[in-house]
Amino acid sequence: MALDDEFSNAFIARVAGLLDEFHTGDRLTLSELSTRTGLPRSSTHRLLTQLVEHGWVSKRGKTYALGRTPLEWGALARNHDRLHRAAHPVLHDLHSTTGLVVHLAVLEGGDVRYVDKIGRGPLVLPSRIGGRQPAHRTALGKALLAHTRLHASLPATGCTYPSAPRAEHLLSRNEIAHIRERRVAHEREESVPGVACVAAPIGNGQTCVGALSVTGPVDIVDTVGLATPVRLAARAVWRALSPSDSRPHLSRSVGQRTSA
Amino acid sequence: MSEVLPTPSSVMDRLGLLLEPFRDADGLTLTELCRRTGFPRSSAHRMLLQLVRVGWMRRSGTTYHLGPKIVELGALAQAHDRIHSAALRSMYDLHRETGLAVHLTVLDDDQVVYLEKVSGAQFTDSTWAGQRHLAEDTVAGLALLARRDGTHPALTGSNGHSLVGGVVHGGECFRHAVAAFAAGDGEIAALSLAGPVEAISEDAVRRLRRAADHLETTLTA
Repeated sequence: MALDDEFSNAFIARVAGLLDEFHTGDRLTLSELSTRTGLPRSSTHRLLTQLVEHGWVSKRGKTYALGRTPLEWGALARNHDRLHRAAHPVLHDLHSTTGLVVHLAVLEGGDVRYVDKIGRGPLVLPSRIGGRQPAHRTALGKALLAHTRLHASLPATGCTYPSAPRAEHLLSRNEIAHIRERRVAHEREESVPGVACVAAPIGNGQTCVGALSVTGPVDIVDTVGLATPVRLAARAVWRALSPSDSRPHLSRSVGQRTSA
Repeated sequence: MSEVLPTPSSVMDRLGLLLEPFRDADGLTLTELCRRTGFPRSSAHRMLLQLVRVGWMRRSGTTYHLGPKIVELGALAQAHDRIHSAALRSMYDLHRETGLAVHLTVLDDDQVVYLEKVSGAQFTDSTWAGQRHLAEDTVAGLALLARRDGTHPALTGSNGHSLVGGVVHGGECFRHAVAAFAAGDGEIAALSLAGPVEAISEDAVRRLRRAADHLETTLTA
């Protein structure tokens, strides 16, 4: 059997399109999936059977949801990301000490893209790992915009996306100056009612590789008191990223019985 | 065209084979991928092009990486996962109370899959979510096998592994305490604490067992 015939152009696009229908987080029935993808019911069923067999989709009763295979590959993909790997323990510590939801994000064009989210608060937040939000309305985005201004005006550095808007178009000069001076940005109920955030950039003044934040109910988040722990966490991530820091893992064989 | 592979027959199998080398490599070139998968170059290239188009792969220069769409799907799948959603809160609590690394694993045939890891900068280790190992090779895996089979020959205490009060202890320089539990739908999962020997107190082990028992009750209800 020739590979090229079977791995037809349509196939991967069809699989990806079908899995994308789960973006709302709802479980879906065969009919719903067939309607949403526009594929005939029989093709949808055939595709789903294959996806269930390989763990990409799970079936309970008559409904389908994403399965264990994407969970596994998603986690591996995140671990391949140096920023995520360096930040992971720091984010957990920040969550442990503050009890608030912790986010890690990068700037993509005029949006923030969430790289990690830790903890669950009493409030429903619109953020999800891999998801995006307009940067200027979140504390994370403000911290990122204020600290990537130089890059945005110097596209020759190659560090920004061609569509990156200049920070000045989204934040006032005063706000940028204030955030840069204090290395911390705030947001109170600008993106979600009842929610406040404190964010700090991860970088050294010349380079900004991302930002982290804590988020919680507006009456609990102490924006002044949280500035220091959030800034310290951002600095810890930056240190873990810098090449001079080559702290070895406590043990290479952890999780494994033998060190083979 | 002589590009013929006898197995695997299905496209999904082939997709799995193409992804497999990314388990232990951040990025791979087309040549490396062909060597590792045995796929003909033109076929592998075609698959990669399609995967890049839908965001499952990302290309930088000549190197391919797992793409942003995989991260996004993975996060959505986590939110859907019965065991992961039920256990996450307990994992944060255990980490906060003990300061130790906390793992969530499930048994998949003879392999152990790491679904989540919660750990701070104080005690961390080289495990991460998404990893897969032969169950026999890990302390968590032994606990899962013992839960499934009633016992396991390795848990005699002679090689540093023991089963006390439903918790498996083991590991050399890094100690693990693992509490396995029935997770419903025929699945077996385990919560683990990991850290230096002296750091895993009896109180921490009690909290671990309590959390695992609670999850078993919730998930098998």
